[in-house]
Amino acid sequence: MRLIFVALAAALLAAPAFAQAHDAPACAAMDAALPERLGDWNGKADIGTAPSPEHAAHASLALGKGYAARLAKEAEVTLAVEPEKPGGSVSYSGLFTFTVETAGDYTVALGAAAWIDVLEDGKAMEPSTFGHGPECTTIRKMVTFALKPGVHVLQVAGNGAETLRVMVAGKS
Amino acid sequence: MARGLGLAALGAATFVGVVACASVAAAPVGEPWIAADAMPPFPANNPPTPIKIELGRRLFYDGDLSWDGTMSCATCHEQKRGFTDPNKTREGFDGQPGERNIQTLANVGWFKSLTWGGPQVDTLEHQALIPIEGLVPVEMGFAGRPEGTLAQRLKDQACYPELFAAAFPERGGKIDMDTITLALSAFQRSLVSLDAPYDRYRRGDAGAISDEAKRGEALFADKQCVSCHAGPHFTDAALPGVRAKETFHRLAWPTEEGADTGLARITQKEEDIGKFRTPGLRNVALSAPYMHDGEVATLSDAVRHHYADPLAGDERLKLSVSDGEVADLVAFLEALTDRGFVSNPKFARPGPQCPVDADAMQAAEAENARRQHNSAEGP
Repeated sequence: MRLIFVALAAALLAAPAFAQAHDAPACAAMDAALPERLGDWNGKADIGTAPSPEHAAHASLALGKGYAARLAKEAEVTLAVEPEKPGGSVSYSGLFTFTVETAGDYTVALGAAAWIDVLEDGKAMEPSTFGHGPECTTIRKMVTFALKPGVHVLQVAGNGAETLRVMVAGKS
Repeated sequence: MARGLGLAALGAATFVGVVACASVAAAPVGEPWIAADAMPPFPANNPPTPIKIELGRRLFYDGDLSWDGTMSCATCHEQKRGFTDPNKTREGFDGQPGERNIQTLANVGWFKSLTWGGPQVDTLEHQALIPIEGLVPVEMGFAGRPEGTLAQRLKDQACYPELFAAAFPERGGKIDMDTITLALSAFQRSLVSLDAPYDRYRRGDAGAISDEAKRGEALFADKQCVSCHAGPHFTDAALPGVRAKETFHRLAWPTEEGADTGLARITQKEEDIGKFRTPGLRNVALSAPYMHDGEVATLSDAVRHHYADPLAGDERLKLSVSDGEVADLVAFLEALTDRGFVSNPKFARPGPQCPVDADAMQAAEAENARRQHNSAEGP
């Protein structure tokens, strides 16, 4: 038994410190096998944030369409609700809307780990699930909400870059 | 290092060899227990004042402490989870994977060793630089950035210059990494959690915890949990008289090449492979997942995990636990949840208004004088 420990110890001590990170999946190509409902993730349609909730209807996202959304500096956007985890003064925020025709689960997919809120009747909804995007995709975060029909506000806070890949997808 | 209140009365630790943990007998109910309003010791160069703690709180919750503004300390240390995080490990600001599970900040001011694997990190002032400027792993992303970027970012805002001036008059209100980490540390030392049901039970309220939890308390001693999770903070890392390196223990040998070797990463010694510092157990029921890598999802499995490696080498880890005993131990651990702590507005994200005013300044000076007077050794 002692010999096993010594051999193991030699191997472990020889391993570089950097080898201790997660095992990332080996991906032949990113976004090569997107789920059907996220198929337009790489559409990168252009859209700019609304400056305040009153103007959010002018920044309307179509369901199932991938955007490269332009955000604004945190101080330049009047947010609809206080985010649980706001960004700093150098981060970017945004306000958009999307329209739900049929009640059900809708997923917001993001290319970064920004904090998002979806508002229904002016109140931030609790997500039903959240997590990473599928492996071997450039989707970093997915948050799903059970939504009623109507116009919903999507609020983005604390993004590290001016542009954010975003998509709202219904359940396929 | 100035000494705080009360811990000396809790009993001295004894030591049993290199891999053994401190042995602290559980005192019976009614015996002196740490006071609910006890405060941890503080370094002579960083006496806590209300305005410094308030500044530290604002910094703690400010995303500007990360390179791109996306992560604050509170991103990973959520109050509602006992200042922990629900992920196994937490990605850095740019999506690089984290390495180890986020630890609680409850009562961290008493801890003499502050990371899972590095006994050399023994002050909060030192520790604060690791997430901000560290490279392994990258967390908040200031490593290699132009010096003074963060300080300038804070100077450019309306409130911070006033707050730093009020918090650090002896330094002329200077904003730099020294004062930033001093303020963060002062806030973290204020994160005191000593009013869980088990605390009230130990102070004489026999009905404060369930019979199941009382059985769990007895098992906590019988199953040797208390030999490492010792004292009122449930870690030997916060016991008086214990050296930092002696609070690192091995539950299991790592079995894969490239696995996290824990303390051995620092010491490069075979004997330290797989050793990690004993985490505190305050609010542990809120802090899933568990262990240094976050690979254990539930509290009951975390209990079982301690007895899972037949090669562990420590006789205490060869004990068996039945399902009923695990349930009792979990009930005991749940009695360490301090609801007042995780909902205390003093520890929550501050509002947008700048808190500097004459009353706050006066209160800061009075509190500073009181603390210096009460400190056993003084600053």
